Amino acid sequence: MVASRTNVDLDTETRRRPPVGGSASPLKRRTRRGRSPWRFMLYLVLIIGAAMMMFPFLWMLLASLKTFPEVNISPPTILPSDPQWSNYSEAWFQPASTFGRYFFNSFVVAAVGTALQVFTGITAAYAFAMLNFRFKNGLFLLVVATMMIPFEAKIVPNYVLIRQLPLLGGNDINGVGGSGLYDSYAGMILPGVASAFAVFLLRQAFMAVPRDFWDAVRVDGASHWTFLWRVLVPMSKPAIVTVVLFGFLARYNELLWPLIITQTESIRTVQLGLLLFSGEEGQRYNIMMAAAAFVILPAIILFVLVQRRFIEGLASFGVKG
Amino acid sequence: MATDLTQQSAASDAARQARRRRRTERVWLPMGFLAPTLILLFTFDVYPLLLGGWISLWRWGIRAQEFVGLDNYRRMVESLGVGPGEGEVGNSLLVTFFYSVGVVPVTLALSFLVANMLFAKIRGLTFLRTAYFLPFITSTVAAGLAFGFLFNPQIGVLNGALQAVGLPAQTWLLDADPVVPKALGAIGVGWSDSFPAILGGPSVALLCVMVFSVWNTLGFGVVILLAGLVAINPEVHEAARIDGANAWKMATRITLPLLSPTLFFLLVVSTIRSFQSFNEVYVLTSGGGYGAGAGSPLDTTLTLPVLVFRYLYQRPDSVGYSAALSMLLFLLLLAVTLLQFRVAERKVHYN
Repeated sequence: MVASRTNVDLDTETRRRPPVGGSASPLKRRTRRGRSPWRFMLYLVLIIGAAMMMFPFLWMLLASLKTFPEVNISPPTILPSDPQWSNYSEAWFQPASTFGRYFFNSFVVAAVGTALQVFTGITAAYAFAMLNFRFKNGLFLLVVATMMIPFEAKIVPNYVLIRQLPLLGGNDINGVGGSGLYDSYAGMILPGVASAFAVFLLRQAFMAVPRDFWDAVRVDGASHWTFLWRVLVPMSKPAIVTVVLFGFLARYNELLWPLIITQTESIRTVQLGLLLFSGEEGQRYNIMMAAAAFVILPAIILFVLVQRRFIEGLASFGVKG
Repeated sequence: MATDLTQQSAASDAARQARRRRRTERVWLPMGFLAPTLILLFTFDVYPLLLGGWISLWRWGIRAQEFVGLDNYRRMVESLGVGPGEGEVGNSLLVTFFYSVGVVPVTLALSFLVANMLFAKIRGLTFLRTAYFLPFITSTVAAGLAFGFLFNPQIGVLNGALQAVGLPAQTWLLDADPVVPKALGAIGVGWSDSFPAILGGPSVALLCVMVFSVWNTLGFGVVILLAGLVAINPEVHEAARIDGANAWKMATRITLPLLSPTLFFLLVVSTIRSFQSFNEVYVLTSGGGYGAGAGSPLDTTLTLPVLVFRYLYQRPDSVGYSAALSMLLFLLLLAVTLLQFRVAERKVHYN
């Protein structure tokens, strides 16, 4: 069901572009269906490849259900002889690393960070797509150029900068005396909020909307603000979903920045919690794999929820605007 | 007279109002829309480049301690030697080079292959696409732990499989030996220790990290290329098929050139990403916890970003040196990206 729906989606995607007539896709389909040995090989290779991609996850899930002696047998067994669902609760309730708290922190950081990123991205993209002002092209180039600055080049100065932000965290006006936003949610969130990638992607999407829409609502006296949120944003859902997905996943999965900018265990994110957990649990791979499995779960749920729009969003990115 | 004046001033009032409105429209409105992004980008992306350069001239702990000029850079240059027991900067550059040269082309080629296969309209497309993309969206920490388990010398499934077919077990992520002498030794060809380190190739441990990295980033390449394929006009392929082109010719003569802008984009992005390899090394080689051992065994997986981290996080008073190292990383990346634009972009076919 789901699969065939997506096939249709890809077809409408190709059909939507002007030079393609509606007849091209069915024709193509018929010719491809014809060669069955070729298709069989294609399936075989794709399925073997997919199995290899999925194997580490599968093995993780199997190990997470084994008993401690069973997970240490060499050569390993494949299926757990007596599935231990309690491994999951044991991993979750380990007193040393309280995953509930870690998850809460991760969701706060990822949700707030993504919301701010989408909001600032949308307004900036609107200015670049719809408004006329001096230095527009130059500013846009400058924004895009920031994509080229590698994260590692920024991490040391940002660490210093966050600690020395004036008037915050006990600092005086010169940024001396306290520790700024070090070891806080804001410190984890702020440096990644503005994203040139988001601005770029959203601008592409906004520019694809014909200008007639603006002329039409302008006659009715609508402001830029209304037009943006009532017309443009609803029409650009695929691009926005893509930005949300990438933004949320990047923050949820982030490791280096939260590690450097925090110190207190109770505000750290779930990835750091999992790392600490792996250090403490050492060789208890069954418990560790259970923890890894529930850390992965939210990302997978999010992806499955939005994946159709996400592919559309990337497709609009591929088309040169 | 009087009415004339009021008319005049009304007219100029209207003109002034119009001017003010235009000013709002052309200056204040765009600035309002742009301000949050521009302020944040300047503060946390542009200004840090300058600040980083400034910090690299200091001995810097939590705060600036002493201005040392180019001392940090001198120290960096002094450890540029390559080989066992030589400088750690030189060695980490070599590790980064191995990593990049191994991971980028393999990922690109495999993504191209898989994307082309997935582009065929087949049943179960959503499931297959998700299978290839899933590693990319999972956290490196969780996936890294799963790989650490696969690679475990005692109870890992890889050694289980090797032993099942009668091959000797390996120590994988704990093996600091370079792969080329090892592979040659397995088929009975000798190796001299006097050969330069670069010929020995990456260590077995680094190779494992590279395998993980290809697995982890393949899905990204596949999705980007799929998006590129969707954007190609299907009539082009249709025409070629009617002219009797076979699958190989279609792929090399038509798809490849038409996809070259997307491939080029992917090449640049993958290279940048490969120079920033931190997470995978950190999770796979640190031996658990907050990673005191990242870069082990014997620093053969110590990429440049991990070295930056080591001096920032684990050595007090070395923030300045760490900043100097990250400057090196930035300049390197800039040089490689510019080179790619000069060399590779000539071969890119924009329509």
